[in-house]
This record gives sequence, C-alpha cells and structure tokens, in this order.
Amino acid sequence: MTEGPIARLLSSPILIRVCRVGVGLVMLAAALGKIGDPAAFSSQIHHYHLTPVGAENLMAIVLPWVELIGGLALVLGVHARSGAWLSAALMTVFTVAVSLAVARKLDIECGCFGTADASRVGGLKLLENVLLTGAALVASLRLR
Amino acid sequence: MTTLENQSNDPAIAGALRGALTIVVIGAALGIGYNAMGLASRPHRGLAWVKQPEKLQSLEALQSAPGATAPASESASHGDAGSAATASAPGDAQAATATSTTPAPEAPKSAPAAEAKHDTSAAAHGSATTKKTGASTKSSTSKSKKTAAHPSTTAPAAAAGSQTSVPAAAAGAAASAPASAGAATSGAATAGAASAGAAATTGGAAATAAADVPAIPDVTGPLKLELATLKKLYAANAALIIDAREAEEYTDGHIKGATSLPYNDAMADPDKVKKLDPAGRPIVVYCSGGDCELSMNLAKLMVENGKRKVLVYEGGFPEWQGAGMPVAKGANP
Repeated sequence: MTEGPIARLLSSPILIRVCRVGVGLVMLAAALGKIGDPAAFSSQIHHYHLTPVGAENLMAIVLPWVELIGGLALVLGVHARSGAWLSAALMTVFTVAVSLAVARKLDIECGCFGTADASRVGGLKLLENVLLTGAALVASLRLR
Repeated sequence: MTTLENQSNDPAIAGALRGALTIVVIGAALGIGYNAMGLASRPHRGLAWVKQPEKLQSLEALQSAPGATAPASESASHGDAGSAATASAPGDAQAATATSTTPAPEAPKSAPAAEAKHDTSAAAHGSATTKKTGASTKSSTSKSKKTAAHPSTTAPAAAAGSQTSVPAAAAGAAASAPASAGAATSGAATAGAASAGAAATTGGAAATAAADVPAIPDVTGPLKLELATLKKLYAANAALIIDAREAEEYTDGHIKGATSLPYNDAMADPDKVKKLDPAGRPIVVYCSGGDCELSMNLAKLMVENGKRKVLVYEGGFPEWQGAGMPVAKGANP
C-alpha cells in the first residue's frame, strides 16, 4: 500500500528524533518544576477537583519522578519509545484534565510545570497540550 | 522506510509498553524514596502520604470550649475604628460607618429581623460591592440618612449594658461621616445625639438579637459555623455574607443581602478580596453545601489576603433555603 505525504513526513527519522528530544526536554522541565515543591503541586492537583483528596499527595510525590525518568529516556535515547508512549499517555491525561477545567470554567493554575510557571488553564494551554500529545505520539514511532 | 502501516503492526510496541511500565515503576520508587527521606529528615520536608481532607475548626466548639476569648478583648486586638462596638455586637456601629459613605444597592425588606438592621445590612453588603458596581451617590445619601440613625437605636448600646457609651459614641462617629460630606445632616444629628436611654427604649427585639450575637474569636484561619449561629449573626446584621458560587448560581437564588464573589473570580483577581470591606464584622462565606469547596477555598484566600474572622457556612444555600430563611434572586447589586 502506498503512503501519503503526511504519513511519509510523520515517519521521517529526523522529525521523530526532534519530537523525542523536544518532548523529553518539556517533560524534564515539568518534572524539575514539580519535584522542588510537591506541596504546591498537590494543591494545584486539588484545584482540578478530579482526584480523591487522599490520593493527591501520592500523585504529587510520584508523578514528577515518572516524568523525570520518561524525559531522560527521551532525551538520552535510552528506551526512547517507552518514554514516548509514557509521555503520550501522560499528555493525554493532562489534556483531558485541562479540557474538563476549561469546560467547568475553572480559572486555576495549570500546574503543568509546578510552581515554575504560573500559566492558567484555558484555550491556549489546551492547544499546547494537544500539540505536545501529537508530538509525543510522533516520538513513539519506530525509527527505521 | 518504516511506514505508519508498519507501525501499527510493530511487534516492538509491546516491548515499548513494558518499558513504559518499567519507567513508571522506577519513577514511583524514586518519588516514594525521595519523599520518605524528606519525611525522615529534620525538619520534615516530605509530604504526608495520604492527604487528609481539610476540616475547619467549628466556631461553636470554640465557643463552648473553656477559656474562650471574651469578645471585647478580641475586638480590641483588631484596633480598627469601631472595634468597641464590635465587642458587644459585631459591626453594627461599623455598619453605620460603612453605610454613611456607601450606597445600598440591595435593601432587603422581608428579612426576619428589624427592618432597621436590614437596611444597615444591605448597605454594608453594598460597601463590598460599591467599588465594583459604582452605584449612584444618590442612593448612598438616602440610605445613609436611615442607617446612620438606626445603629444607635439598636444593638450596640443595649447589648453592651454598662458599655452603652461606647457604641453610642461609635454610632455618633459613624454619623459624622455623612455630615462632613454634606449628605445627611439630619441623620448625623439624630445618630450623634442618640443616647443609651434612647437605645434602651427603642432597641426592643433588635437589641435582644444583637445581645444574642456570638463572639467571633480572632483566630488564624477560617472557622466553620452552623445554621443556628448564622441565623443569629444574620438577625443582628453582624456579618458580611459572601456567596462564593458562580454568578449565575447567585442570580438564581442567594441568601438575601449576600454579596456575590465567585471563588474563581477572586482567584483570578485577588484585589477583589482585598477591596472587601466587612466594616469590622466577621465575613461569612457560603456556597452550595455538600461537597462544595468554593466557600472554604474562598475563605482561605481571604485569610491569605489579610482578612480576619472569616467563617464558612458549610450548610450553604440549600440548607439556608430549606430552613425557610430569606432568599433573593437577581444579579449582584
């Protein structure tokens, strides 16, 4: 079966590598911003009102480290596809969370980068997340 | 070259997913280990493993506890104008101060307590919203005539007993504001001349309500209060009531005399909280009851922005409405 130009572009090794490094760096930045202040990140999770209160601290403790390892895998190219799949899954969850917050008209801090970034949820943040999810999916493609 | 079709049949996907799971496990182990070290360190730096839902201290429990602070000393610690009046019946005299300079966009007329008190209430609530709404000076002036006179005839003097001169003086001071502004000379004269005797004779039920007003301890952080306590505060117009729900919900129905300040708006613009002027009275915040956390979140935001004596009415609007208490509809005045 022949493939179209978009499919060929998405399968480009250069694009896949660029996406892996790009998404990896974003994941690293997000992780480091959260690891520094897990209490603040826990509060930011709480503001979404999506998780049980009892689980918020555990999420704030674990999630940044998972992001950190996933980001390192992508940037260093060690188990990069695993890191990319994980990033895509995390980004999907984050996108859903931001979408729900926007739908409920919550004006809250995104918490995407912990306390390092005070950006709030909204259309722009949603677009960012969708693009990052797409990039993570491209990064999860196999290099030839 | 690898194609997208080939990707979908990629046998390595299972391996990649296993790798992703491994990353999750390693990340979780590192996070848990890091937090455990933080908890073990001195001083503790880690987070509690399980977050406990925040539970507010109960105002009623504090009041029934031995050694509860006397209201006079609490108010004195505030050191703001009219705090002496707050000691006996929080905020009545201060409400007069507020009403002398601010409009009264919403004037409850069917609230359970004496009308005089509710005029004061509405005006005081208006003081919180005036900056936003920019209501006319005319309504301010006409209200100030009424309210400047009323406080001296209601709670403070009668409720305070031996302290009658203090609230009367406070009311007089409140009334002097419109006089100096040239707005309500007669109101100023009436209030300024009000004596404890006049208060005792005209106070009646209103004074009784004021005397029943619970003292609000000046503690750090918000407290929760029950419907019975809120009824007393409401009847004596001794609290600024804030609706933390969305503006649409407020429009559909709210506690009569309450001011709308949606939590989301307050978070986006904390100046709205800073501009709130409770006129020395405690602030009562409510939302929809049940699992609604807007009131508690807004109360905490208020405390963070320097407000004191912030109370959360956890029963919220449904309980208030269910109890047959006065409600109103319409947008924020």
